[in-house]
Amino acid sequence: MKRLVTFLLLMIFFFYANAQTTETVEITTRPWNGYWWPLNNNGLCTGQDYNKYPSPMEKYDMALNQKYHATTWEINNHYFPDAPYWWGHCNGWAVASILEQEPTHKSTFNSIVFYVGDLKGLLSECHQGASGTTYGTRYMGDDNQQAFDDINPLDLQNVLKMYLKDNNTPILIDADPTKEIWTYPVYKYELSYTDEGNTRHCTLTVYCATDSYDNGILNPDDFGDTHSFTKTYTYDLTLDSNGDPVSGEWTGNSVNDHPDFAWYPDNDAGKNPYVSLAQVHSIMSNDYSDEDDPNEPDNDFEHAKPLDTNKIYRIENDDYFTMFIEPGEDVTLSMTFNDYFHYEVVKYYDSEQNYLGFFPFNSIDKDVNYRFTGGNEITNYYLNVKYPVTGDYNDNYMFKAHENYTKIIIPHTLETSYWDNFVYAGFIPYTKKNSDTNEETEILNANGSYVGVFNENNRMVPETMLPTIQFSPAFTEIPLNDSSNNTPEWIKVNTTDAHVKLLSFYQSHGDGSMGYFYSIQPAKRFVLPHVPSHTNYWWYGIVIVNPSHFKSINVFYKLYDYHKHILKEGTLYIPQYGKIVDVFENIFPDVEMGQTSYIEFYSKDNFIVSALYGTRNHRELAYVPADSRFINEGEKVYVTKDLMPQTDNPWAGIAIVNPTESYSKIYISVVNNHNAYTRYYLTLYPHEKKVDVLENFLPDGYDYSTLERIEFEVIKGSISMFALYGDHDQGMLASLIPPQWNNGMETYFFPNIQGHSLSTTLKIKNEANYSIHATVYAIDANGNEIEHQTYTLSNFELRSIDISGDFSTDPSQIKTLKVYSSRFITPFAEIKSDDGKFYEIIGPVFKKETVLIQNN
Amino acid sequence: MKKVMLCMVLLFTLNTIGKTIMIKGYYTDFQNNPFTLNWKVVKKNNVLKFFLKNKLKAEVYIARNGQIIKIVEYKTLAGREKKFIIDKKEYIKLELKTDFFPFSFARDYFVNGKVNTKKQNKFKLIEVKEK
Repeated sequence: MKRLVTFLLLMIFFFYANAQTTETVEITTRPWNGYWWPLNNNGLCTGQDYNKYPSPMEKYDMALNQKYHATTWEINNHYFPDAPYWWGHCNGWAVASILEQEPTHKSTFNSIVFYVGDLKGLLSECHQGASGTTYGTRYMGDDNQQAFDDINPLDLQNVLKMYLKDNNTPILIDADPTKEIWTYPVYKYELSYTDEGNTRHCTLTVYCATDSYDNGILNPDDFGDTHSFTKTYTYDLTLDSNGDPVSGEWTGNSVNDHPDFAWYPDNDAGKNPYVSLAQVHSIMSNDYSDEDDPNEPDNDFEHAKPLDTNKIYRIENDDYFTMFIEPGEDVTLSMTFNDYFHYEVVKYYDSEQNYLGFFPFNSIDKDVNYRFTGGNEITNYYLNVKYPVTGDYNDNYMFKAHENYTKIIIPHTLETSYWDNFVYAGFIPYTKKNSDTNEETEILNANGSYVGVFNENNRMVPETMLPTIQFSPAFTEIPLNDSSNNTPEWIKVNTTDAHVKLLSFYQSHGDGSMGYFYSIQPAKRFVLPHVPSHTNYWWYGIVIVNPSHFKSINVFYKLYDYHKHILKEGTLYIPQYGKIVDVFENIFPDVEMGQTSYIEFYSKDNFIVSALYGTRNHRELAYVPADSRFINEGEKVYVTKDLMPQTDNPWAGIAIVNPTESYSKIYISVVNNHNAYTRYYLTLYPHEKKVDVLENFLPDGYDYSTLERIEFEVIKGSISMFALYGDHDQGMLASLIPPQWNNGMETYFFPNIQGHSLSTTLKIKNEANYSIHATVYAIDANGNEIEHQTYTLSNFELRSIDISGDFSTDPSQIKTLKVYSSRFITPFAEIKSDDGKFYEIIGPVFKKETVLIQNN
Repeated sequence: MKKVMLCMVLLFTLNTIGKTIMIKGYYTDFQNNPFTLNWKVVKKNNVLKFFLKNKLKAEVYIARNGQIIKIVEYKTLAGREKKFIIDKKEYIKLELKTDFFPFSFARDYFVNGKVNTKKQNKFKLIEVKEK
């Protein structure tokens, strides 16, 4: 009997000792599902993997009439196509999902319709910068094993009990123990454990709301039942003599797969300064309205408005637009919508309102699009967006224009009796090399269509040029005015080849100043590295052009002072094909020019910027194209002293600015006429500028008379720089973007400018400390090389080439001078009038390239 | 001896009644970018009230022996403010360990009359205002 009792007691003891205890806790206010908006395609601003155009951020900007500030900021700061796959807005969404009520209906704000998905995205943006009480340490991917091991399982268990069980509150976890962050809100847990001696074996399952819906994305109307996933962790807790846990450690798979840390947002902040949480709440509080869009085009052919692809339109009835296609243009115009069965949504008509066709549906891009190509003349079209567009998400729509061609632009032309403005055009030959087969093809010319833009809605192609002209290596003067002798605002060439070049020259009839401009490519960011501070001596002008006739654009600017701080920032609105040109004080009336160090311009759209330098006595003028490329880490450029005018009192100045947010370091090599290098470093802090005359870039005690050139090698960061050359007495001024340092074997092209009382002198500087050969080729009006001469230059020699003496060809028949050397040379063209009134130099900017192409 | 101790505690308590201190907290976000927060801490009787941008964020209840016995945080949940109560010893310990709120730092100042120099990297006393 005793044995039986003992056995039963032991059984009871073991039963209780090994009994499993289970606890399930779920809070009453569940977090809502949203989307983590990855940074490599950031649908918040791009619409990718979401509802395409218009994106939530574009709608927000349009609804608040704030000129794409929020969208541009988001693109510049949260959109990185090459970002690691895990970078995104998961923390912004996770915070929003617990702090905010779930948006459950679409709303209309200033005629812009916001879907539930849009509102969830905007809320995620508003909470992207939140921080708060954090349990555990973030593991940064280093060798900090302690940071990897925590959060300690006992702490995690206590956090869950404290939040979910005691306070009916969710908690956020970073579910990934590695350096990656994957933030999710936990709204339920199941804890079961068994005790064995002083060890408690625990199994914990947490329920997290998902950061997307079932198909891995967010649809515009996704809300409601919480979609979730679970993670199960195992760990052991050590118990004290009272049976209370005192420490814990992960077991099994959870050793390497456990939450990194848990947190709750207590200091809420958005990152994007142009999106306000209060404003998003205000939008959310509105109901959906069926009112028509007051900004939309009117509803028939007669009242059609010019298409603007940067505008969001609202459809409540048929919409009509006008648009045109120029010769040489090749544009795919698309509109995204969500009804694939009624896709005759966009129809196009000719200028006589005759129906031509509809945009066919493209199943790959899920849009309707049509490719317009230019004819022999400007072609006008009407577009009609049909109502009703059936489907769920078609309240707002946008067009997108994808331009399948290149624009070569001169952003400024002049029409006054004071100025003689004339234009040269040519083509810089290049080698096309197939990277797979190494097969090389010489490209010697390209077709293009030359267009003058008079104002945003009035444009022309010079009648003498119609319809297509072939640009060859022969630089030729082309007409600027139309047949009625009207001068356009700016000019462009529509072509398939960016090696077409334009040069525009400006001569004043009064005091004899001269400047020129060569074409540059549109870009989204430009820097003007130097604003002159001696405002009594210099005037400074700026020209900005919107090169698109499909959209109005906003260009943001930041003016920096000499203390590296922002002096002023703002926005310039430029309509389709618009141009802003004025002196500094008129564009920025409330800013002192003398306090401004440099200017940065940026936009989500392409544009063109240039600066104009002039002296107030009107004797000097130079155009300095704004820099969009910059001199980046590992690149080396140089400034040659011999580009200074060969006069009694010449000068040269250099401006260098660091337009970035991190410091830049430049390795400067000063080279003298014995090829001796003296080197030093120059560090420029963010937004710092160094501007000085050439001799002040030399080390103390350096003999300026021995100087040949200064080399600038960027070893960290990026810089923007240019040089100015002039004469103190003779009113000469020329600008130069410093050329790339090279080892020779380069081919350069220079226009042989004639007429307009000008003559061209080709000069070649030998940059080597030994004799070299350089060959000059004469190219005729047909683009053919008709004669060449080879010259021997001694070390560091500057040689003027006597075209009329050395070549048998009549100089007037030579359109282009081509220069080649296997060694390091600096060729340049000096263009001046006999009386010395007009002076310019064209540096070695037109260089033959090798362009790598792939079969695919 | 007990009376002397009680008198000392009373004197010190009287000395800190109505005091407001400003604390600067130094943090890094999840991208390791530094940022700071300026906390205002007001002592009323045995409660320390913590304000951020003039908004009451937490209250800490201190026992006579200087121990924190309860924390009430004001958290946002689904668009509403919610009282979040921490009164279990192990949870209070866990919360103090996070050092987001300057609970221990302020407690040390008001109870011991000095700040914990070990925590100067995280928090700095920048101003003391007498009522």
